[in-house]
Amino acid sequence: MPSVTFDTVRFGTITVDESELIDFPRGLIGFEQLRRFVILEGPEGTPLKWLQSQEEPTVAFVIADPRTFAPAYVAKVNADDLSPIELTGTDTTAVAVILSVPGDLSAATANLMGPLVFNVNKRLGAQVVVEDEQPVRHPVFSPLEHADVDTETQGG
Amino acid sequence: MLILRRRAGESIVISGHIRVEVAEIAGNQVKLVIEAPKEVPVYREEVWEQIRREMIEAAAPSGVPGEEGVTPSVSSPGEGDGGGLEVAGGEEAGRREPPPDDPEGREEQA
Repeated sequence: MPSVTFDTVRFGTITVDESELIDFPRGLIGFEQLRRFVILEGPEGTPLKWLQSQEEPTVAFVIADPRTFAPAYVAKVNADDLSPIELTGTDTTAVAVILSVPGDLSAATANLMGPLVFNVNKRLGAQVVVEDEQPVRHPVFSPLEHADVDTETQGG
Repeated sequence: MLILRRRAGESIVISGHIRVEVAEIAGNQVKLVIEAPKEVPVYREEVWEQIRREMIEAAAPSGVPGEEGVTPSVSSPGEGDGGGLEVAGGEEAGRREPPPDDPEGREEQA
């Protein structure tokens, strides 16, 4: 399998198998020109992961499975909005949301209005706007958890 | 920029494959019916703009701990268990057909 080597601001130079890249055929909202990303493990003991652009070294999002902090959250999406990820009968999906982390992890908020939906089998992703009203800044860690973010959020 | 006047029931066609009809005018609200190929996303501007702004802020997170110079290992999108997702509508399901009553005018993507 051919590998791809690219620069990132946060992680230095990365080499991954081409099969490990995830293709966003429509890019992300505000970043429509960026199509290829890789998902990297986030800080240990947190449910966080990185969504690093392969094409733009400066762009890396923090993502998480929303069920790790908002168990009741369901991404209600229109089937047409999933056309870029080419779902067929046997494909499985995964949902992630993008976090804003302004200066301090305990202040992280999640964008529940524009989640990411992945076709795990074909390694395709799309950002969709949900059909119901959801916050774009949902607090990820409740105030009680601030004291020990690292242990309280395990399990993702 | 192009400015057009349309009456209720009239429509415009954009680049041959997107049709926007003024279905109804009531007070300060118009009801639009948008017919577009499914690969053309249509958003209410304030929603799109809100997400776009949030994305730009999220693109450079500053408060995430990590070891200097250590490249994390490659991960996967998630469980792949299909959970947390509810898919409705689609192609032939009358995507941009508004339900009869929606005082807030929030029906466009229904």
